Amino acid sequence: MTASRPLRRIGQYDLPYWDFAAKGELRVQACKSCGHLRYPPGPCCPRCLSEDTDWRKLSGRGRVVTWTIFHRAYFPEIPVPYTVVSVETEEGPLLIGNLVRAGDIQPAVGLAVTAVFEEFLFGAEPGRLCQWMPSEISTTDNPGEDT
Amino acid sequence: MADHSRLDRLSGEACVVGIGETDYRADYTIKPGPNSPDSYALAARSFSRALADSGLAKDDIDGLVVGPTLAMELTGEMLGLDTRFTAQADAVNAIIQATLAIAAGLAECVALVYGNNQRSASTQYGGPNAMGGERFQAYVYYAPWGLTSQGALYAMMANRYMAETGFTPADLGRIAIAQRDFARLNGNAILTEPLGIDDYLSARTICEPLRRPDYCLVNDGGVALIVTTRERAKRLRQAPVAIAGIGASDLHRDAASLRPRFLDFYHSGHAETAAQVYGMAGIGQRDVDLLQVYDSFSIHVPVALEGFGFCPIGGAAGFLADTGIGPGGGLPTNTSGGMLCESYMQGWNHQVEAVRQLRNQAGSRQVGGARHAQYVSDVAGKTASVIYSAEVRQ
Repeated sequence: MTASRPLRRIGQYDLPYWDFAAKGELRVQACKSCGHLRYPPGPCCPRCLSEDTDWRKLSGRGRVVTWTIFHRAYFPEIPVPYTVVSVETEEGPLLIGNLVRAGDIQPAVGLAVTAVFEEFLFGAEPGRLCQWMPSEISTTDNPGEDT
Repeated sequence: MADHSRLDRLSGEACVVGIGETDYRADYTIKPGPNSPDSYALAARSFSRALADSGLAKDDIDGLVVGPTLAMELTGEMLGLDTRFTAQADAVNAIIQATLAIAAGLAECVALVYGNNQRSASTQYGGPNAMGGERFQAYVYYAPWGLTSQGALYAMMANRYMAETGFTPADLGRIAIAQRDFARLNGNAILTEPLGIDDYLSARTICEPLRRPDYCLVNDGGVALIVTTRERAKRLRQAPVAIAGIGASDLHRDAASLRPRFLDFYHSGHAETAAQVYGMAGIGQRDVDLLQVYDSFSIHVPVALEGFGFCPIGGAAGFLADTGIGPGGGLPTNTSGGMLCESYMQGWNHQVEAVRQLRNQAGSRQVGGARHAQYVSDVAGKTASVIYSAEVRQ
């Protein structure tokens, strides 16, 4: 059975992100005018104010900026403890995800991580979340493949 | 760019002449229920006390600034005020608005009023409907990954800070302990049980590395201040406390990605704010007799000490150990117990405590000979500061 997660906040500009994620692709908005990458999605480029936008595919490689482990449950869907990481992607944007499939590897600032997509139900809707696993494990595993 | 000649003229033009708070400690013993006072009742109580403290009549009030939890028109109606200047603002912006309104002649006597029934109303600060999500996307956007509470965001900031500086959990514990020691000298503080380092380290972890004593209270309460002109202040009941400096630098860019929080610790905003507030007040860090730091979480304190220049970047652990921020310390900080221990009033109770100290009315926690008190904050990237002075210009 597919596990549930709290509902996504899918505003006016978020849908393409989640459609790409459902296909296992990590993409963020790229300004067509100046090339600036931005996340979360928004109406215009905060650098040059252009509204012309592409969706740029990221490599899925990054490093942990920081982390926390939740010991208090805020969501019935997510049992504690669980780890949240902020990841600085190779291309620049900072993304949030859970550290998964880490085995004995503890979360740490600077840890090299690789994107991996996991299937969940958001309410009744199926979808996939971009998560992060230690790169040293993903090279022996199969990155991007769902369990 | 900041025009310091214009700012400097505002220094000391407005003074705090009245302060009022609700009975945080006594009210906390009453079980919340459907008849618990709402935010307006709490605001009205504190306003009534501030007015009495100032000696002004209600009809003298011609300006009103309300906190974020109150609607300004409705507050005016509830308090029976017709005003020439009305605004809504957080704690520091309320002080800034009042100063500007008074300097510009838009109002002469401004009431700053805050009330929050967050405990009895079960306000959510984490989870799918976390408070403030419409202003700060990061409070709610990452719910699918289980990241929503402000405490979790500060926990992540703390882990990065600790990795960069070598700051330890025991160092963090010094903050909670120092503030608890102050709270024990404050009859209106809610948390007054003794707290030692062993108690701190064995307390329940909420989001690593933050433990329960690193988190602020959630309680009901109200706070009010009355601000007027320097000239009128001198004729009133209380020793006036001048608003000597104000500064703000809001880091909005990239806020939801959390980049300025995790990679800058908001230090670029701290530096801008510090330059403005110290320049305007004409004093420096060494002249500050006591500090009030916005402390929804303990980690605010070392980051602010470094950002505002009380110690070098990365030097807060040494500062806490050597200079000290508790009773008798070199830089008494959050002298009422702050939001960790006295009351969580979103920075409003810090203003009252600063004024009380400069009036020499703080009882057994009084900082001897206090002339200058500084408030600093960095709420989700909105860095700001106020310097209060017991020295009022002629």
